[in-house]
Amino acid sequence: MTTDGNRAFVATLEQRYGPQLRRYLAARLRHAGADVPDLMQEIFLRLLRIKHHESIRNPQAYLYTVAAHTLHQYTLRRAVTPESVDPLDLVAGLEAQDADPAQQAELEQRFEELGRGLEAFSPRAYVTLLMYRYEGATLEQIGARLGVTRVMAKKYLTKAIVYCQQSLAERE
Amino acid sequence: MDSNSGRKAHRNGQVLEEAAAWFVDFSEGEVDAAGRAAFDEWLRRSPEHVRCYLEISAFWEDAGDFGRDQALDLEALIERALAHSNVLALDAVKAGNAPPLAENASAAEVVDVAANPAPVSTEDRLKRRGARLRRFAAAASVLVMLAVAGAVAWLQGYWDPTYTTAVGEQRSVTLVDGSKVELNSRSRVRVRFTDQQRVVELLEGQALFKVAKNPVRPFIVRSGATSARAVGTQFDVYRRPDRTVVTVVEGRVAVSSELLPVPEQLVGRQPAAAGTSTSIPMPPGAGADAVLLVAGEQISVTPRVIARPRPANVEAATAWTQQKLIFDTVPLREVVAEFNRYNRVQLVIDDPGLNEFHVSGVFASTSAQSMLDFLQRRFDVVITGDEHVVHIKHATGEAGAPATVPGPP
Repeated sequence: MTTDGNRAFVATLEQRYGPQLRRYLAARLRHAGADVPDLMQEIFLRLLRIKHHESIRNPQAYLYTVAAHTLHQYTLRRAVTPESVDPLDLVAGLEAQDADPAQQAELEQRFEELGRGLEAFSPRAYVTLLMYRYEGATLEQIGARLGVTRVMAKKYLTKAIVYCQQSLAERE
Repeated sequence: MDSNSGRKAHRNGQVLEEAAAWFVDFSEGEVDAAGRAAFDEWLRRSPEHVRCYLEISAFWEDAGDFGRDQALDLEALIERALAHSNVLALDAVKAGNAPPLAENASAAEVVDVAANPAPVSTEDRLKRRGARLRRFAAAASVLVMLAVAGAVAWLQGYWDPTYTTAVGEQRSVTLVDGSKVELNSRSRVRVRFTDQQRVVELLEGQALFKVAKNPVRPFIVRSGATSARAVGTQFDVYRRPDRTVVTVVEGRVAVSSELLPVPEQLVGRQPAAAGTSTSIPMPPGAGADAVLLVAGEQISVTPRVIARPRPANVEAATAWTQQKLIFDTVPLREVVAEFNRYNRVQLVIDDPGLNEFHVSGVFASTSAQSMLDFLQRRFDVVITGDEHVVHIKHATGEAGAPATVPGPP
């Protein structure tokens, strides 16, 4: 597959399946399957080969694009006969992943638990995350609402993210 | 096994904190060129860094998809959080020396709260009481509305021209000043013009306003407590149950809320797209009490928050005027809600698991058929129903579900 083709494929993938793709990658990175460290290594090596990351303004989208490229090539290489691998197989995987109601329900439940846990851990970090993520409130607004400085609101937000990541990791 | 325990050790350590801090900085747009170089350097240091950042990003997405539907009483949660730390603050004050390190809060948190009397200030108490009053008022007003809706509608209909559209109906109205209002399906506006100003109340639904220029007589659209003010421009106002969304197609619009002060950092903000042009008249009242938006921007205002304006997909926001609906990775539940605004045939999602399907595409708003066809082709769903209700659910039998998905065991 040509570089251009690959790029176009990834762009389409990202455009049409952005959230699913992210979830899929996250699942692959989180669940400690035997090949996950390899995949992570490849993503990392690919990042190292790219010269100027300093111009990235949205690392989230950028890293996912790189990860998607890597995943795609990885899948191609691991197939017994690379020529016969239809990129759509990968997409089918994404759709199926998103379509599985059991998995959806599990994810939903996990977020509820996460919310409860975070509230018990730090009620302020919890409401900060909710206001920031769901209401689009600024840190200034959150600070004003909670009677603290913006800097402190930012600390709550960071704390909430760290807590959630830790408890997601512990569950596995 | 080894790699797994190694991962946990890292996660519990500094890397995660660093990744989270970077993530928040980027989310806040606080990373300058030097910061980006430092971030690049940080990323290159270890695959663990990359992994952490990716995982936080994924969490952020998931949280966006799955937290939103939880019916949370945010106001109550905030009260609880404030009450929680008020106790800490009082303890700290009583102790008079080193604040006690509570189990649930870091030392920094306690110090900060103790040093900052804001949570118990009069202003804050008033604000909270205001919030409670508002909640009560909201509940009370529902009752009152139910009781006198008929009479009020008749009276107001009598005094002020009111325009209403039914489900599936769209309507274009030219007002006495020459301004045009495109009224979307299931929407209602009331027009109240005076010599000083032109006020249109959006009572329900969505409308696109093409405002005739008149610098001395501002044009104001009220949607609940939210106001959008302009002198000669084009903008869309969508009154949703939980918020009002204003999208500017042309010119400038000043948006404000009766319930909230404009956040300081949005006052006198220079929208990126504004350039240096002085030919666009500033809407009067676009001072300290309003957020100024320019063409291509969108803002969302809830009773609690005036969000930061964002670049908008204007085409998608106004596609309804062409009887089109444009979705760009929109969850199916929202897609269904949109179609139900326009059509008498109501769509119902039977499997909650389908709610979060993301749909992208352009469909005719006048019929859900093309969207349903699309769903059947792309996803494994079954459509059943009659001329009143259409049910969407998963195909049973799992015949089409590929078994190749790597996932949790």
